Amino acid sequence: MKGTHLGEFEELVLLTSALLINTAYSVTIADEIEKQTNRNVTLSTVHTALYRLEKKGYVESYMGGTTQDRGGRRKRLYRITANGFDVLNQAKDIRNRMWSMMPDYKF
Amino acid sequence: MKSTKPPGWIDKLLEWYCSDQYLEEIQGDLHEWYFRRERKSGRFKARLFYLYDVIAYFRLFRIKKLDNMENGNNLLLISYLKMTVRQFKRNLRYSIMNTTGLAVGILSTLLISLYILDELSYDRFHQDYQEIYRLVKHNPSNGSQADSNPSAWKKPMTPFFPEIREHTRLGQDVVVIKEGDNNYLEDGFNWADANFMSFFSFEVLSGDRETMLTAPNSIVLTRAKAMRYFGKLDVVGELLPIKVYDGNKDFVMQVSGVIEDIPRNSHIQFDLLGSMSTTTEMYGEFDQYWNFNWVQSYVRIPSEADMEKVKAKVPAFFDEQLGQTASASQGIIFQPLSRVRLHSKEVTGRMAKGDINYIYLFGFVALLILLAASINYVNLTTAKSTKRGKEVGMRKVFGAVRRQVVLQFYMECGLQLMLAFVIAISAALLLLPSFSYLVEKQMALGDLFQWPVLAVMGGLFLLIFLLSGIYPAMVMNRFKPIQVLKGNLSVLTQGSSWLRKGQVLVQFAIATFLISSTLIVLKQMKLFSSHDVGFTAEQLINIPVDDRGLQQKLMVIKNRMERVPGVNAITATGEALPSAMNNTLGFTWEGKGDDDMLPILAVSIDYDFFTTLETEVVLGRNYDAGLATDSANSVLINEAAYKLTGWTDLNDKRIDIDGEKRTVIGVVENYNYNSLHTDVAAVVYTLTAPGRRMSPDNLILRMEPAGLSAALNELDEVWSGFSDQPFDFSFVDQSFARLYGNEQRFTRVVIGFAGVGVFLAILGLVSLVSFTAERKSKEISIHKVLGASKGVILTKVGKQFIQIFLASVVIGLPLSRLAMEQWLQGFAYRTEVNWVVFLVSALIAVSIVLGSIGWQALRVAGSNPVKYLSDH
Repeated sequence: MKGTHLGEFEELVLLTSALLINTAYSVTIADEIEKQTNRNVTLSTVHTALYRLEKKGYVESYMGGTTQDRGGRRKRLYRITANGFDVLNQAKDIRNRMWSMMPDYKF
Repeated sequence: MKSTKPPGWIDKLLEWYCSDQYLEEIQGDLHEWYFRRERKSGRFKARLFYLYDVIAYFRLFRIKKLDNMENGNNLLLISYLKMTVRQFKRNLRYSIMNTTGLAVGILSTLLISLYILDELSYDRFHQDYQEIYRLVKHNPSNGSQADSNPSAWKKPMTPFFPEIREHTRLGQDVVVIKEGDNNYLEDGFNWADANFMSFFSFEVLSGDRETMLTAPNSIVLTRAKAMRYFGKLDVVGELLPIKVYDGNKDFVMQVSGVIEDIPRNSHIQFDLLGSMSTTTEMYGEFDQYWNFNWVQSYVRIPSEADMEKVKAKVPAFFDEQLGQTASASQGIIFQPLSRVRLHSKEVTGRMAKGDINYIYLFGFVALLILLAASINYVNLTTAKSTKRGKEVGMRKVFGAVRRQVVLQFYMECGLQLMLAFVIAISAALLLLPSFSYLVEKQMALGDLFQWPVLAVMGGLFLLIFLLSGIYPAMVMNRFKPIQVLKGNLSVLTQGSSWLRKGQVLVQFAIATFLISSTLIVLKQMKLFSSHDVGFTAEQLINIPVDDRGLQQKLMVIKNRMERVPGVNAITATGEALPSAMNNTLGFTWEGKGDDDMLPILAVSIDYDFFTTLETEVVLGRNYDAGLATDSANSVLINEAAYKLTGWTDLNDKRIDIDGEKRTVIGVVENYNYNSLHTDVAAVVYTLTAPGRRMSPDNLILRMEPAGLSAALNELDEVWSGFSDQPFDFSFVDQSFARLYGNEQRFTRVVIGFAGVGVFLAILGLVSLVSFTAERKSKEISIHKVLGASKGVILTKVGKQFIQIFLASVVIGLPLSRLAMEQWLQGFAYRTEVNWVVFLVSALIAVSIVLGSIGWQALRVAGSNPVKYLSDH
């Protein structure tokens, strides 16, 4: 099906949003990705990825509470959907399967 | 560290573009991110990245405007489209006029841009063309410049100018290629240095670029010549016998490479290249002759800083090579390759030249046409839109907002513009072949789709689009709907009348400018054909005798040809007609007072030269074949030289030519040996025996008009009895006409575009008249009811145009005078720009005005007043 493919970065965002139950939104996700992978991300890329994931039905969003840093603005929180979880699992399975076939390299 | 707020102006930017739907969350997230970054890496970086983030958030789906449209009225868009089509149909005459005017304007601009782009593209296909310079031989004492220079330069230049990375030469030669029993004259043959092919970037089809011109007897063919002589491209190693006329030698050349045909936008044009090493025996001694100019030279100087050093060393070079004062009359100009095509007006030579002034003039004309067309379009569109106040009022009453009204007008403009562009581009595709023919270029259809053209068109589209949409959109939004709906239309037309008149004024000034300029150009062209050039060019033919061996027998050939029926006169000369006269000698005379030599052009002639040309000897006498002293000691000079000397008679007067004393026996009328671009310079005529460099190598014949072709056939037969070179001749009057090729192209283009300008002006006038007439229909009708005659009404309608017309003449004519005087500077013989030209231009303009408005005005004056008065 067109448009259901999961890009590398999208997968990362989806994974992270699954990890951060109830607190997943662009800032925490970006923060977490930076911590986990040690790479610099920009907020807008995360946001765009989330927007795409939502369109594909892998995450759903709802408006949530505020913090002082935000000047009282609400935030859009994301949580993973059953479809999203399936797709993550599939990705993992494919990797596991391929890893199990990996020849015994000695570098 | 105390935390601050993110910079406000960046926030404003975000708020400005981002749609409300996303603003809250994005702004919140960004602020959090900003504080996080501030804690981590400081305020400055945080601010910088904040700006970056805000810009990075700019995605199509978050833009405010689009978002609103999405929410709103797709249906309205369809309705606007419908309105556009209906408007087009309802005002069919307007619409067609409008679209045609614009399309014609765009078409003209497009064609001119193509021409200009083609001229500008010359020689830029060579790799690192910025590093390549052409050597122009320069004489600082008289300013003359020539593209040919001595082959002797190269050897001493290399050690003297270490800044020159490479130096390559090209020398044209006339050869005949022998194929079986047939001989084919090749005038596109050149000898080239071994590094010529690696120096330039001509495309190689087969053979090794680096070595193809190294070995003696190597020849490189273009695709066309390979196909012509072998019928295939894979011909490396094949043999080709040639005969070189100047050297009187035969060679069997071996093909060492085949290259693609030379691109037409290269100033260097050739069909065959022979390796320079072939000529060592034949022309090797030329490397000692510092006055024998037979090669074109090009050098590569990679550093621009070096260029200054090189230029500074040129005088020292000549002084060192040729003696102390040589640099006074010898010099080199390093001309950048990209300037060769358009900036070589002063450089004499055989290569085809363009002229940067024509590029400017054409560009100027294109701008004028475009301006006229755009004004026309904006004018008509705005005029038409003022009639739509009620429609807009109604829309506003039903809740249309400002933006929607603007959108509607822009959409209508956009669609009409697109239509005009499609028509213009299609027409350009259709007309390109004829246009190419007109301007003597080979432009392909594909040229229309190169990116500069597309960019120009895109820019044009946007510009006209914005201009023509702004006005109606603004006016329509300014008024209060209730006023318009009540029938008070004046709000729509207030203040716009002077604007419209101003536009027509500009347009008409352009038309007047073009008409008057055309007349001046035509007048100058007429001067070319009617100027008394001092000899009779009709029925003269010129036969070049390139074969040096044949020149010994020139007099025998002359005697044989003289007997051919149909030949009225025949003579021999060292310079063809027309000629650039490259043979300059130093000249002084008895009683001059000082020892300075002045330059004089020298031509060797025959006893019957002036009688054949029908040129008068105004003082003294012509050469006399019966006097033995004539051939050794006597010369004739022309009036220009006579004037220099300041003599009043020829009693025992002698001149000194390159150190030899000669008696002046006669003064000849100044005849124009070249085009009227240049004045007649001082010339000395001598009798020179065969075998010298300036010996006669042309035959000039005056033919009987009747039975010309039979006579030419017989001449051909006589010729073949002496030479295996094909019989070649040219009609002198046609050769002279060809010298005005640039001017003739220019004239054709100017006439064509003047027509376009006038057409656009007529459109503008007609539309303005009909607009005024419609607006004033009630007023006029009341005048009629109260008994005004047709004449009174015509005056009333016409009065405003008389003012516009006068003003435009006052602007257009002086401008045209200014521009054309500039153009005329390029000729030594100029036509007079006088009041007659301007009067005629004004008369043509006034008849155009009367013709185009008269019909409209009559229609209004003749209409039934009841029709307009019963309306409300």
